Amino acid sequence: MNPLEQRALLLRQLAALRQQGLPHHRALALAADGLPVGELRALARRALQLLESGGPAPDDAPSLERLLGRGDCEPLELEHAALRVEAQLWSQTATRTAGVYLSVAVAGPLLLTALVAWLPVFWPALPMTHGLPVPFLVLLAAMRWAGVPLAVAALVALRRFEPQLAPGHQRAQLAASLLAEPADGAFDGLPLGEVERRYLQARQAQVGAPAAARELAAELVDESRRSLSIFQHLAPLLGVFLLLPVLAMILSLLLLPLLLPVGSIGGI
Amino acid sequence: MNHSRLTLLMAGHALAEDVELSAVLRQLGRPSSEQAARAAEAGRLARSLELAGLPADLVDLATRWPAALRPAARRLTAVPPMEVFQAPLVQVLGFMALLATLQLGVAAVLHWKLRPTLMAMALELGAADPPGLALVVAGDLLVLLACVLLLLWAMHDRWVQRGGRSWRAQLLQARQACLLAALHDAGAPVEIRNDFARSCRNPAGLGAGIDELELVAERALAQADGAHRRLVTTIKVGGYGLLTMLALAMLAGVYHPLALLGVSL
Repeated sequence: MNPLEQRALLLRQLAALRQQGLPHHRALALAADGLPVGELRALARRALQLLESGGPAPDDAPSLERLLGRGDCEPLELEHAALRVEAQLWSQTATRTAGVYLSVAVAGPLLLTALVAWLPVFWPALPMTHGLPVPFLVLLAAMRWAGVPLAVAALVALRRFEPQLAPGHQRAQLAASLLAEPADGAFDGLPLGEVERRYLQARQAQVGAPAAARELAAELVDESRRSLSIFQHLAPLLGVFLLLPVLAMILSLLLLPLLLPVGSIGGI
Repeated sequence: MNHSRLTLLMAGHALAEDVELSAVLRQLGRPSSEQAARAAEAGRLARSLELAGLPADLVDLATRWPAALRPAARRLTAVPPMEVFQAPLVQVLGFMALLATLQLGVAAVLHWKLRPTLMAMALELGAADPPGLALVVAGDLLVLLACVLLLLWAMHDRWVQRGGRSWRAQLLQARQACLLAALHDAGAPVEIRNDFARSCRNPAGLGAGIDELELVAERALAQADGAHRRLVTTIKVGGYGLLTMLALAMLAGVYHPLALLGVSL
């Protein structure tokens, strides 16, 4: 399981146990027992020790450890933290998914073209380049050597891909920022849309800044999850449409050996 | 967040917290907001919410028990919108359209370019049609067609055995169960809940407790998912089956003159 997913689950479990009336240290002990051995379990154990000792958390402790190590931690605070982790998780998932599809869509055609360009060299009997126009032949010869380096360069460039375009990323990022903002309601620096701003302003006046931010963040996380789900279905289709010109080229080149000997097409 | 969702949330909060609805509707800043606010001031809640752009079932719910609109907005987030269900369908149909276009392109080249040349060569050599060849090809295609139809029939039969409601109907049932649960959340009396259940022709909601309604919603969502998966699988089996037949017919079209050539040589 993704570490962020594990954190969100721990916080949700804790909030649910607290809402059932369990004291914080008991709820934390129960939730920590269910965690697999690893960093998060160690963190939960340290937080438990903090609770038992009653002392303050060290300044350099992670924020999650400080939150869990506080005896007066309210269920609402835990839900707030869980929502923030979920927002980060969806933002990360959106970026990764978009990155993978984009990499395949960009590097895929380059690698396929390089492969096709090498076919006549390794298989000279294949008359696939007969009758091809000169620019096409030059392009094929160039791609023989440049295809793979270009694909690698494209992959390296995509590693630096700005995730703003990933569907659902912006909303999830905004949700995480909303939950990280101070409780005084200074949301001016956030890239809120007109609708979100209206909602936040109206709700701030009615229920206060933290509750308004939490409500809006929950909506944004939900929307982000839905956008990503739709994108995950449509992206392969878009990717294939991007690959289509290369596929068409390969198909036509492979058909040439069939068509040329019978003379049914004389030079494309 | 879009304007419809903003309207639902804001109206829901206003009705649950006894905040003046007209003031909230004016804050929305949409073309119909002023008209909706005036209707709210005149005490015509249903007209006001209708003008604000809420769907009919939510207007009905709010008219019966205004405080139920807020829990309804929260509960409805569990029901995925149509687009989430339509995306896999678009994906499958898109792939099929693409494959069919490619196949038709190849079939056109084979039929109009390759086949006439091969046929001309075969006829030149004086080849006679091998007996029964066309019959064998047609028979193969018929067997394949029968297999595809049999598979589709078996899938349909199994679907009917499982209750056979469409995913849209199941989604609607989940939505109605959520709205009934929202009436529960807001403390609406049993008569109002039953009236609402009857108005949306949902007998499962009559006298049901909140746990039962949540179960109904979850079950309907799971069944919607199952029904949708079955639909996608049926489209895949039928569509790819037909595309395979097209491919075989295409190959048979090329094989025929090649076989004639073989006989003549």
